[in-house]
Amino acid sequence: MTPPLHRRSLTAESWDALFDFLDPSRPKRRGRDRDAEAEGRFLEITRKLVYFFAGRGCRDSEDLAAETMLRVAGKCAALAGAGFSDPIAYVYGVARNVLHEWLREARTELTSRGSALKDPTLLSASDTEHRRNEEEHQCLETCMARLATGARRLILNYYGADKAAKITCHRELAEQFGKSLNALRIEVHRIRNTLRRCVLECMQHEVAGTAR
Amino acid sequence: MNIDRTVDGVLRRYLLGTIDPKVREDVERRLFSDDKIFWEQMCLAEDELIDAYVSEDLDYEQRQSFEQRFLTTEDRRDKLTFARALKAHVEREGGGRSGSWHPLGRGLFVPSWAAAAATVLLVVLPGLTWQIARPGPARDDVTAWLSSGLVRSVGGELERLRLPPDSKLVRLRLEIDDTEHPIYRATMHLASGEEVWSQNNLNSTDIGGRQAVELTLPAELLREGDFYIRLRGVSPAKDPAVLDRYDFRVLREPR
Repeated sequence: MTPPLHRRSLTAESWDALFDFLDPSRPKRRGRDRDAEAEGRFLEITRKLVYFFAGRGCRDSEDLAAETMLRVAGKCAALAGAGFSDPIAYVYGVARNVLHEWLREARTELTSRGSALKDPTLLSASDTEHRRNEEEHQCLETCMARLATGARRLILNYYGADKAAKITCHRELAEQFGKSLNALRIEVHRIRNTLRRCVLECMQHEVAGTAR
Repeated sequence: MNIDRTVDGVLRRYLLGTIDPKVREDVERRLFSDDKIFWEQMCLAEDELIDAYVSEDLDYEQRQSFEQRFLTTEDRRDKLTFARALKAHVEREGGGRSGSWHPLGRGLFVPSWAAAAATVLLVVLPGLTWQIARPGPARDDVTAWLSSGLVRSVGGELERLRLPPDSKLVRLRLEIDDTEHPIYRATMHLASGEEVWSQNNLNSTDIGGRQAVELTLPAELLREGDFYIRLRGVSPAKDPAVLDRYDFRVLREPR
């Protein structure tokens, strides 16, 4: 199979073609936000590809997702005039081809070697990991403090409920915040994403600070 | 086996890789569409699956699938680390104290079972309200000491907990040797292993010269049968350490 994305690179023209394919209105746009829509779609589709490959039992789903996008990018110039109205459906088709190739290769490989993969949850925690955990905890505290009071209270109460009473507690929280249970879940999910992004940024700063 | 056919159930099986292949194709088609709501549901299902793993809410087969099939990307492993950190933070902040902590008014939190018990005592059975004001344990409370090590598998005799028919609250004092951990977490299980109750942010105290972690739980949780409690020590920024197991048998006294 073709080497994955990190072993090859896309030319500026290929990126342009890919972005135009993902956002057909991009060629008409100018200015700094010209690529924003296409970048957002690129990231979302790549994440969906990872779900797809992981759901099919592929261990290297991130590489396979990158490989799929690389192939799509390689075809974009040729597809430009074909008038594809649904880029994501096209990506799905390419992903299925990549999967079939991977399955063929995996079958061959399985006969020649056993699985050497370790269970990631059982890896012993090294000093580096402990340091990383410490940093993550500190960053989480900082980021929690930055949340609006209501959001912080919601997160603490939502995740504070023990399993025996979780359903009742979440229902009561939903009532208190004037939302349906499902709307509450989505709200918590969004706050959690904000929190996680904040923690990731904070940890990058910590790493940069240490390296300096 | 009952299969959860709700969207959440389907998405969870999809993420764990245990879904029927035909349903999987349907999920994939919706995944590769512009259905934003479905995509958000998928992301939500992923977060909740990770939380369920961290809270030990998955059964044995689901845990196996989670570790072997789900946890195969860097992003998901990072999310697992984040979920553990978030859980530890919430526990430290006191959000995860005993039972369901829900708001009653502004900033005041009490466990839901305590609220329910208070309702029974104050409203349904006004004749019993005198007990609330009485110092010390109420007449219907039961207090018992449990020691670790009396595990059935090595043939030891189970500690027996006799509950009068009117008992409402049970205080279990778990005798400990450990004093290294600032806080403790206890989970109570049926003999089959199913978790039925847990309490976080517990402290150890000296009771009559014996070091113990005391749990308070509603007596209604303890039907006649065998139970065990697992005690974990919690230290900041570390995974909880399993300390002891306390096995006991509940005997309900007749009315």
